[in-house]
Formats: sequence, structure tokens, C-alpha cells
Amino acid sequence: MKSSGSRYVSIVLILLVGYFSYQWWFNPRRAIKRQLGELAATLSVPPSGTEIDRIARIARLRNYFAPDVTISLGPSGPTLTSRDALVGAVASWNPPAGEWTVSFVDVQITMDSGSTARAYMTVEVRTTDPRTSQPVFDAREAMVKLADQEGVWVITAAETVATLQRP
Amino acid sequence: MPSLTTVIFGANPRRTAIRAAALVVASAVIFGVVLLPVRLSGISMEPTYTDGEMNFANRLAYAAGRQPARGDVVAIRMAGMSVLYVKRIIGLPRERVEITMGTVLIDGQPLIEPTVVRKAPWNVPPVTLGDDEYFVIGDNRAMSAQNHDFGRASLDRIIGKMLF
Repeated sequence: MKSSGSRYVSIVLILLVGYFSYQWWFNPRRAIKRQLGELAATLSVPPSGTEIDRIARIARLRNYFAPDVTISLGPSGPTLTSRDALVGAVASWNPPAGEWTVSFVDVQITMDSGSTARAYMTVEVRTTDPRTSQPVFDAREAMVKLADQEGVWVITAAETVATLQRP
Repeated sequence: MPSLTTVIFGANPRRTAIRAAALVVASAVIFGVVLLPVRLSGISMEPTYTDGEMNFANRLAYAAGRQPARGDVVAIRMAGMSVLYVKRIIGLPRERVEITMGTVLIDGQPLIEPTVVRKAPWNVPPVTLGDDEYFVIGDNRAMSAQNHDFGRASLDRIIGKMLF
């Protein structure tokens, strides 16, 4: 015969599991990782993409960045200081034909506050050399700052991080 | 004639299970902690390593107080362990490193590099390394310096030495 003590323990256990599951599901880090994953997918170019697909992807980019986002691509690269500038730069860039796969790996997220965070990651880009048909791989470290704006995590700043400090 | 169970699990299934578990644990420790599998991508370490070659980074090479040495080929982490640089150490902490017409100078003295077959006339301004910094570079100096990643790497980013 089950004692009432076991029943209470079961109830407490169920409540604890429910509480921690809720915390895990609505964890901001999880939301940020999901948002970054979607951004990587948006930045990727499928092998058979049309011009309409390209325009749609560029339009979706706006959803991931704050209006006053700052993008810094290193000392020798450009600095973009608004979302419009970023979208314009992406729209005017004409990549070589073929598939481009962008991935964010080893993502580490630090919550600076309840509504701001930093994500540190390695950005991988895989494509195929159009001349040799050989796979090409490149990777760079990056740090992005994010803010929660009306329930959506958007990037407010992004910069590359030099793994090797070049003289 | 032995049964199918005996053929698969041996005469002593318990011992077989223990051996299998030991093999799994040993593999997990060796390849999860000691040896990090690395698939090389790119041409910056040619002819020493070629694109697509497999190797391992020995993560215990610099344990117990051992320090990286000149000539070591090391794995350098980025944000994590998924992507690594594999480069050779040519400069040690507190040394002054520069490259003049393709020749590496360490504290003003030319460095003999038997692993570098051809050298393009690179010119890199002098840099003095910090207390925990190493200067790393690839062996392929025939390629353009613009396309070659090299420079100072801090000790905490060096995760191990290439096994072979």
C-alpha cells in the first residue's frame, strides 16, 4: 500500500521537473542560439538559389539586426554602422556561383543582464572553388552583442576576433 | 560446433562484455582527452602536411610544466575545439621576430628552417613577443602572405602538439 509520504514526494518531484523544464525551455541562451542558427541559415546560399531567393534572404536579414548595429570586420576591413548599410552591402556583394554554407560553431553565450548578452563563436564558411571544383573552407572568430527587443534577440554589434595577432 | 551466441559473445560473455566496456572507456579517454583528431584543410602547411590529411593533436604534450619549443607544430584553438589552426612555432616568448625578404630573423639572427622548401620574399615588420606569446606560421612560404594566417598566439590558445 502506497503511503501518503510517497505521494507527496512524487508531487514534489513532478513540480521540480516541471520547473526546471520550464527554465530550460525558456532559457534566453537557448533562444539566442536558435536565433543565431537561423541567421547562419539565412546567410547560407543554397546550390540552386534563384534571384528571388536571394532577395528574400537579404530581406530576412533585417530581422536579426538592430537598426543601429555596428559591424566591424577587422583593422583592414570595413565598418558598417547601421542595419541599412549592412543590408546594402550584402545586396551589392556578388558571390561566386555555387553553394555557400555558413555555420556558427562553439557558440558561448554570456548574459550581461536580463536583456543583453554576448556570444563568442567560430564562423565557418564552406564553399566550392568554381575553377577547381575543390571544397574550400575558411573560419574566423567573432564576437556579437545582442539585445532583447520586444521579445526578439537582435544583434547590436559584431566584430571579428584575431586568433593570431598579425604584426 | 559452437552456438551463435558463443561465436558472437565468446565462451565467457561476461568477460567479453567487460573487455568491450574497457575498450570503449579507453577509446573515450584517449580520443576525448589525450588525442584530438584533426583533419587538415588548406595549403599553408605544405609540404609538411597536405590538404585533407588526418592527424592528431596530443593534448598532453605541454602538460606537467613542459613548454612549447621552436619547431613544434601545434594546434591553436579558435572559440572552441571544433576549428583549429595548425602552425609551426618559430618564435618563443620575449624574442624579437621579423621576416626580411622571406628569411625569418630571431633577435636579428637568421633562422634555419629545413621544413620550408620555397620562400617568397615576404617582409613582416619586427614584433617582440610577450611573456606567454609564441610566433606561429605555416611551412608554405611560396604562397602569398596575404592569404597566409600567421602571427602571435598566446599560450592558453595552444591546445597541443601534432602527433606526426
